[in-house]
Amino acid sequence: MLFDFNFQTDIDKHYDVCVVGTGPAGITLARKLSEAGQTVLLLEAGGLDYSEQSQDFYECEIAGHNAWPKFSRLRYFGGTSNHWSGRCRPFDSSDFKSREINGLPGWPIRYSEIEPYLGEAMEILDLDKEMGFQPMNDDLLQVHFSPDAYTKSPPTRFKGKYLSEIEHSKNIDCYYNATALDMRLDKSHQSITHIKVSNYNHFTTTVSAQKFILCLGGIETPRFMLNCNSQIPRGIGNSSDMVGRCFMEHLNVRMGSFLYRDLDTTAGMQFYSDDAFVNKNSIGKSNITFGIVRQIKSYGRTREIKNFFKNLACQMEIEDKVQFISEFKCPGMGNIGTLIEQSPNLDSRVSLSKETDSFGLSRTKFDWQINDFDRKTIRETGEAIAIVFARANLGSVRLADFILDNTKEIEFGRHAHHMGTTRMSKDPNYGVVDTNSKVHDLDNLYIAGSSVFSTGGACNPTMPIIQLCLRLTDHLKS
Amino acid sequence: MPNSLHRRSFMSSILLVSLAPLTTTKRPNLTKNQVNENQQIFRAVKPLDQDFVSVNGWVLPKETLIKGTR
Repeated sequence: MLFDFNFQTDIDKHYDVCVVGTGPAGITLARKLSEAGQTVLLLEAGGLDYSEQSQDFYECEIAGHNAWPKFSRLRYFGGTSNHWSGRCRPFDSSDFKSREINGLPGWPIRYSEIEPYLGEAMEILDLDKEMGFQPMNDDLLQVHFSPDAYTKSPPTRFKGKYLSEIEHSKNIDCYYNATALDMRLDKSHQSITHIKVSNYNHFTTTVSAQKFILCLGGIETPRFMLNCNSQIPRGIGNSSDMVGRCFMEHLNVRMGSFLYRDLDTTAGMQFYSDDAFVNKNSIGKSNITFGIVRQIKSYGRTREIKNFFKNLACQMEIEDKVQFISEFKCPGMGNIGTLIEQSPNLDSRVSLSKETDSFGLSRTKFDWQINDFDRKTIRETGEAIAIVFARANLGSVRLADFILDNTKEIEFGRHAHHMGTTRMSKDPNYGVVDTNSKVHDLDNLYIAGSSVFSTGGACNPTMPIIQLCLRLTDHLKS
Repeated sequence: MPNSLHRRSFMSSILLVSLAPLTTTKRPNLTKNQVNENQQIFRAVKPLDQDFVSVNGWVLPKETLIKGTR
């Protein structure tokens, strides 16, 4: 059933599970738990469509690099699936071979624990299971980098695909325009008893369930937990001060530009760093995309590119050749884009600002930081890809100055993949949730979504989020 | 008065005659500038490993600079 909490404010049932958030994680959990016969209360803070009023809650104070949450996340039914790109690539088993980075442990579970859910996750995301994940180009580099193997969802919009199913579900009651304001604990502070909810007219009530699952994404989940400080000043689930720490993104670094020797090559190639290269250098993983500018001819670049290789091949003196290369102004055939793994780092974090929203909740203070491990990943990956590209006689790469010059600040952007802020760890000192996605401090509070990622690999997070949700469903059913 | 005028113009003309060739014939020190230019050019070259160098960011095999490309 579907209710607008601005008008229908009676929630008097006691549910088996209360799921907060209707993005891919929340909707998947609600559907699967409902199928298992459990009664589910599904809460969505926004409405059924985009609105500035709802989106305003993503306004935050920026202390470090800006990941633009207000523009990358969507706060209405279906969540950020309403504008995701659909790129899907599974985690590698090596992502789960726990290795310590920056003094923090990696995943406490093995890939084999989420692999069985890959097929169903692919169905949910409308992927072709028979085709699977195919390399998109030939293995032209052969050393350090393999062709990246991924596939694309249509992309699946969870609102379009599942709104009607939820509306007609007997076990799911979904209330939209219902913002969760606070979680209340029992006397022993071991369990959540109920959640305080408000509509946009500031009418508040409480809802109760046996179990609660937060599915609010990598920024709003820690913000909500830290704002629940009426009974525990540090916030709920934050006894080891880990809530909000280790914010990770996939780093979008423009490594430089390139020239193909074979001008007829038109496809944008994508490569993925292999495990041997990553382990040998103790760096993070990366996806490298050679994105071609399609209008090369109209820019009159073809002749310049031909002249570049012709002049390199001529018998100039070395000084003249160096001078010629230094003065070569052609911007190339395209840019080298990346999706680079960021390491977990305690200083990169989400905390609470002194500013408040219209419900009186503290807004997010957002401090996204990279560290020396990440800088090493970026520089060593950049240098290696340029060398193997030239060694394979594909052409030439011009690296951005900050790749070769350690004194220059690295320029990087975002991919809108917000991860790590309630990371999974066996030891409560290094994470917020245990191996079952249950908050360490509590008996009945779970978290789903990319905020539980211990490390982020170099794959898009939506499909692994679904795999982890299906695994959590099985755990809750049992 | 006429005497002093004569002396001044005489001195001025001597000065002009002696300085003019110096200023017009003075040429930049070519050897020194050439060295600076070459230093500047090679400052753009950075070895990356035993086979590759970067020139102003362009990553190229060393052989390319020495012998030209294949």
